Amino acid sequence: MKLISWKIILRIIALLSLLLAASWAYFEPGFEPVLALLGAVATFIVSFFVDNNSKATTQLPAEVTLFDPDCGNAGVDLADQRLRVSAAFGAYFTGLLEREESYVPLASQIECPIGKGQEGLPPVQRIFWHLQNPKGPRLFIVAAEGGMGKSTLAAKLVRCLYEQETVDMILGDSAKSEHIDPVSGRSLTFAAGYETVSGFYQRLCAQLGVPYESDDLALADIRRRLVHRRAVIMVDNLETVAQGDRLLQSLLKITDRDIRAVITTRRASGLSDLSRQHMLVHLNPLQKPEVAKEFLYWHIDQHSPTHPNLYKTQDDLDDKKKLGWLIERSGGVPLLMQLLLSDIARSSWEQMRQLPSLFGPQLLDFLYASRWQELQQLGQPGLLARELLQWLRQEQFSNRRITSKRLYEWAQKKDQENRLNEALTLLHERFLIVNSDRQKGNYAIFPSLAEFLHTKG
Amino acid sequence: MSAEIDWDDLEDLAKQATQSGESPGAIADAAWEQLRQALETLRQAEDWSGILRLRKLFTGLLARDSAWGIPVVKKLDDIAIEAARHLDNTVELGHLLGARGHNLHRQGFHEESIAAFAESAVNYRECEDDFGALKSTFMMSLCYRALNNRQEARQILEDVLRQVEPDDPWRGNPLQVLAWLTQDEGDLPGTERLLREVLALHEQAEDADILIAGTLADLAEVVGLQGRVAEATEFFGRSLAILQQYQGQYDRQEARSKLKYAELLMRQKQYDEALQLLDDSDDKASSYGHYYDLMWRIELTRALIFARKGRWREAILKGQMVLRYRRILGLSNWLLARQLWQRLRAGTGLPR
Repeated sequence: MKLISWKIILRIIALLSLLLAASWAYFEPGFEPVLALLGAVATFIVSFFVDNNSKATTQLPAEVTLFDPDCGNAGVDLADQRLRVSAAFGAYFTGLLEREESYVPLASQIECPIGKGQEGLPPVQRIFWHLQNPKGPRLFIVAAEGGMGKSTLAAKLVRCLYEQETVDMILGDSAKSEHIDPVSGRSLTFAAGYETVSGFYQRLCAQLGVPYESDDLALADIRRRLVHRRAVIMVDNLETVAQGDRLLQSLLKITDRDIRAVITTRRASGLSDLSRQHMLVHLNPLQKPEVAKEFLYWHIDQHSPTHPNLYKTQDDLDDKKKLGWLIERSGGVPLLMQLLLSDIARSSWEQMRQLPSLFGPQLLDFLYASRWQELQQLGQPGLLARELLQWLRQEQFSNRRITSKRLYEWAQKKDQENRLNEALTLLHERFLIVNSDRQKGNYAIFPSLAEFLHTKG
Repeated sequence: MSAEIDWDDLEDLAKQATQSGESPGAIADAAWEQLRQALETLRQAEDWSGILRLRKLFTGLLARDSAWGIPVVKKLDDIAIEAARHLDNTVELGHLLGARGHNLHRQGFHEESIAAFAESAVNYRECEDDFGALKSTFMMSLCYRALNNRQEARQILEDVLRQVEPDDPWRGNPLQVLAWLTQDEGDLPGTERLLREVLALHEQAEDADILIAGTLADLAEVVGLQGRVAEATEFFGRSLAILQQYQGQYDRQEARSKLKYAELLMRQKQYDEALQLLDDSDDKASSYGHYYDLMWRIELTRALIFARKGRWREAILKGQMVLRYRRILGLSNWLLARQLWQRLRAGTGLPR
């Protein structure tokens, strides 16, 4: 029906009738050819009418949206939410839930399978559809390397579920967390928060208010406690997710039409992209110049108030060669792009071309290390900036909101309040710190930076 | 011997954990680490006075509602009692054991709670604090009632009431438990009369908002059981409004009021509204305090609602959870069945 519509069919009939009337009039003139002519004209007129009302010929919009694209963009005020949300997600993820506009939708970044009837839906819409479909998959696995924005996407999904009142409870935790030696008080390692299924059960049992005794009992208790509740279980930052993993199997036993799990991981193996049980979402590097440019424009817009030199790079992004170089060096990893662009804004494209041939995690580590060294050479403000980063890491891990007031008090205790602004500028210029609330301040550092700082003691 | 402790930081933590609008449950595990470290340092240094000083910082938290869902807070309580024993400080022992009894009772460990209150009373008597001893003895009556030893509970209450002046506002406390016992016996008008007297006494006392909120919820329940739904709803509204002012600090009380309100809605066949209230109540009861004694009642109410709605699978699962919680608390399930039968027949609400 797409190729030959009713309109065309009727017009062909009208044309044939016209030809018939003409030949009839030629061979045997009379009243009948006039009737045939009138019939042709009427059919022609009807063809217009059919065209305007036919459903079969209605054009589909280029992109269908079932859910508000802004759903999940607003931060969640954790003070008004369940206590377990803020208590459980000690680290970076809580900040992501609170932060406004932390997600930018980019074409082709999200790669997720297209289900039946989902043609025309953008990837995020497809995920929302599946999340809200009672018969849809129960586990949503977001897989990508560090710095790709897995947690940011997961936070958007969770926030949207909250906003839509699809869930009233957020459970789970970040799988990676810092362990502190109770005697020395020193931070020991960034080990997995729950390396074992038992650890995961213990965490959920504590959140659901039931004592943990054994895995079997815990599983039964968790399922009974979640009866009639609508919840999302967040498993952030799991190193690897593989088919047959005990944790994955446990999650399948816990989840149902009202309970969903969102998992972020660096690697997923042995899993099909879409089944009744799970949906695998990959985050692709930003390889297309137009997509990379859109992201970098967003970055400039977001961060130029604290790093005005970023504006200078805006025109350079129209230069295909420069943009191509940036994509190539960063491998299309958003965080690396942001760090490199900040460096370009501080120095020049030429200087940046002298970077050593490192890629991916090695490049990220190099960029952090060179910044760390550079700060040391910048006198008192640089040293204060280093101290500030370490303090931020601790505070962020302790789940304390880092406001401008608290920053000032911290600096005041050190008699360094005069240097605070200078130190903050150094950090903003190097994209080592982000502030999502320009009025009261809500400062954060990226988990990869926290991990790096951990090695620096 | 005084160990090096950052008392200012600990005071900040205590202040944050005990201020209204904040909740101890909203403090991340890592933030409690400094308390854990300080406690460990003081214990290793055998600085018993330091431990008692540390415990005092968190008195508000431990006195208002149990925070035993946070392991380090429970540990602080344990070690502080150990410290008071080392120092042979009977005043502190009386106080700390009394607080422990309260927390055990709130969670539902009634046998252990009786032991703690009994020891607390002994210590109070030793240091001639008669009122302290009386308060601890009175609290034992609540535990005996929960264990279905109502005769013992009544006996204690009568002894306590004999020792309190008729115009003493504190008299409201034993009278309130007497009202519950009267309700257990099925005398709803008598219960209402007593609760109104209790309310008047609490209103005379200082800083009694939470006691008033609790009494209003009890009154609402009894009034509701007598069929005066509008009046009951108004009492519940007043109770919850008071608790709203202390948001985050009296979660157990809020959970208790909402549970009773949900029971009223259940009787009115407003099942969906009741389930919503039970979810709210559950969130409060299961967060930082882990009030198992409330949670089995919440699950029981849910089970009954699901059964009435014909959702048998959910009713059975929730019923299993009731039994599980009662097993954790060491409470008899046979007793539950008996109480359920008796109270539903008498129309005096769900078992307590």
